[in-house]
Amino acid sequence: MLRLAKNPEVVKLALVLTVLFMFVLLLAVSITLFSGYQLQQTLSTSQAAFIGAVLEAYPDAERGLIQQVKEADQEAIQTGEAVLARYGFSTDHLLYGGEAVRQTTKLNGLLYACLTVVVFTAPVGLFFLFLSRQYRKIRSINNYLRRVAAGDYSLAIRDNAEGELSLLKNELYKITVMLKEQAESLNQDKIRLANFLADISHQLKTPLTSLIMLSDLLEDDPDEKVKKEFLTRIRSQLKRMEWLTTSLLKLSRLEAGTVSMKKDTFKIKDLVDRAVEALGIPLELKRQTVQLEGDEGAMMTGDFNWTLEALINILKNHIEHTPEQGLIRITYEENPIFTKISTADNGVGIDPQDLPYIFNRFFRGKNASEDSVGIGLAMAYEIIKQQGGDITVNSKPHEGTQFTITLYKQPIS
Amino acid sequence: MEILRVEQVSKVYGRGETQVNALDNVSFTVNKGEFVAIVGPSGSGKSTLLHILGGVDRPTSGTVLIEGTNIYALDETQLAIFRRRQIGLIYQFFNLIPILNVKENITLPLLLDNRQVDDKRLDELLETLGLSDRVHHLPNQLSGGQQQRVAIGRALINHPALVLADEPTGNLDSKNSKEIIDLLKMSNRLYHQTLIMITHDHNIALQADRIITIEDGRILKDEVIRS
Repeated sequence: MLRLAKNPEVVKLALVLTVLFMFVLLLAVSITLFSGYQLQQTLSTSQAAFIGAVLEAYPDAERGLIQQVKEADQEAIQTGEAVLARYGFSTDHLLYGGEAVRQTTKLNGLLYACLTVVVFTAPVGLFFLFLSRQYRKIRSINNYLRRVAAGDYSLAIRDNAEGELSLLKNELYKITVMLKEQAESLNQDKIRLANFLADISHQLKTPLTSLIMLSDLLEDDPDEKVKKEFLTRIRSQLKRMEWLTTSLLKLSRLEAGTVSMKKDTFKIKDLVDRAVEALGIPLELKRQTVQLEGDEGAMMTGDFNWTLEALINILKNHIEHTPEQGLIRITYEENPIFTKISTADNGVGIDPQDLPYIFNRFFRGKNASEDSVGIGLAMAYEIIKQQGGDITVNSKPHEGTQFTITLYKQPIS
Repeated sequence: MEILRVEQVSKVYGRGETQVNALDNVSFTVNKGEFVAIVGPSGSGKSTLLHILGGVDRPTSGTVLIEGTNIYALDETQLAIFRRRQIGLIYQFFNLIPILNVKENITLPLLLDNRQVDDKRLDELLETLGLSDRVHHLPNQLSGGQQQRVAIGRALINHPALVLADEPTGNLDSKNSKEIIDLLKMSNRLYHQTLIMITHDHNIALQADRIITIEDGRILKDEVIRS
């Protein structure tokens, strides 16, 4: 009942019905009073006429008659009835039953009929009015949805009122906003795809040009030593292209969201150890030290292999931008809300102007090495984002860079 | 997708000699899913701005559009309903209702709309907030961090268009602060929840996508940290 009362339409209807009820009640009371008065009038006139007629013939009877008017005694009533019976008047049509009473009855009948009509038709009419209003509102919601379906998201439907219909409008609007957002991101995706293709072609074109050149030179049949050197260069270019295409394939699968991330639960330490192990050679080459810090038993939930790939890419970045004999610190923690892995180096740092863009695909910062294509961090970012996680970077020039990966535990739906 | 548009908003308190221009022609837009930190010295107009965004305080001039609705064109009742459905507010001092328990405080925005509480979602939300075993506690039986988590739950239960937080960690120790910020960031990342937060803590601000610096009621800087 209270729920229903929140709807303004219902409240309005209840109000109108209450007013109507009061009106009908008032009408019924006045009709009753009026017809009682009418009857009283008829009786009095008739009685007065009767007393007048008797007193004209027998002036002495005045006292006795007034006595009977005040309070009729049983004996007198019986005598009177006997006399009336002799003239064929039964109690059914006494001498009061004349035209006057018939008139009163007719009036009463008419009034009560009117009352009945009011009592029945007004609520029914009101009900249909109410229905048609509600349907009109539903129709307007329908029109709104039709226009949204046609791609017109510019409409405002929320009326910020109380009641179920307003709530419905509110929820529909939320869905409209969602659709609008999706439509926009779809458009952005198209642009991104075009840029992506341009980037790829550009990245592949450089080694291809050099391959064509080298093969042209080989056609001239140079001596063995030069041939060998050219072949090494061809192989290294092909290796680079192979790496590029594999990475791009992975990245595009990630960005397209076609990779399904597993929900493994594993020790963070295992993940970190595997990542460091994979980078043993470059670490050794630059004689850098890796320091681990964290609870050995700390667990993480996510896709082991992909998260490993992300971590390796981030560590590669650290190795690349840290001078020889530098230090890379890896810390990790687990708590009820999330697990976090932080990696920090004491290297050259990232230029503050580059900072917002380092996770963008094909972005190369001012300190980027020659071989850098700008895929590693973009891939790490995609991997973590796909898992609903977060990856942040802090960097100060000449002091070092810190990356933080956060994976949240089971989220709210 | 643009979710908030602030156009030449000014707020003047008092008049004559005591006149204070709390906000002076502030304009900016926020996209859906953005996490914006607002920083600036005390008295710079940060809180006034946040209150105006939240429909709590009327600007002297200018317009605020949230999801295309000019919120100051609404009357008081409509604005109150709009606020309850589209905006989640989190304050420094929690502002929980002292006589309602944790569950009632969180579901208050739904109850005001006479909406059924989805028990499954509520349980998950309580779990995430770490309040599962505190459901029937009253605010004064909770620690500061827990109270703020209740306030976050209340702000998130309705999937609002906009979550506004006014120094949500200003009254908490560093451990609780971190937890609160991580919760807010999680809702921002996972549900694409738009979040605007006032903070004094530079480290917290650096975790946002974008930092707006306000001084003397004007936007001094508006920097994108990550795109």
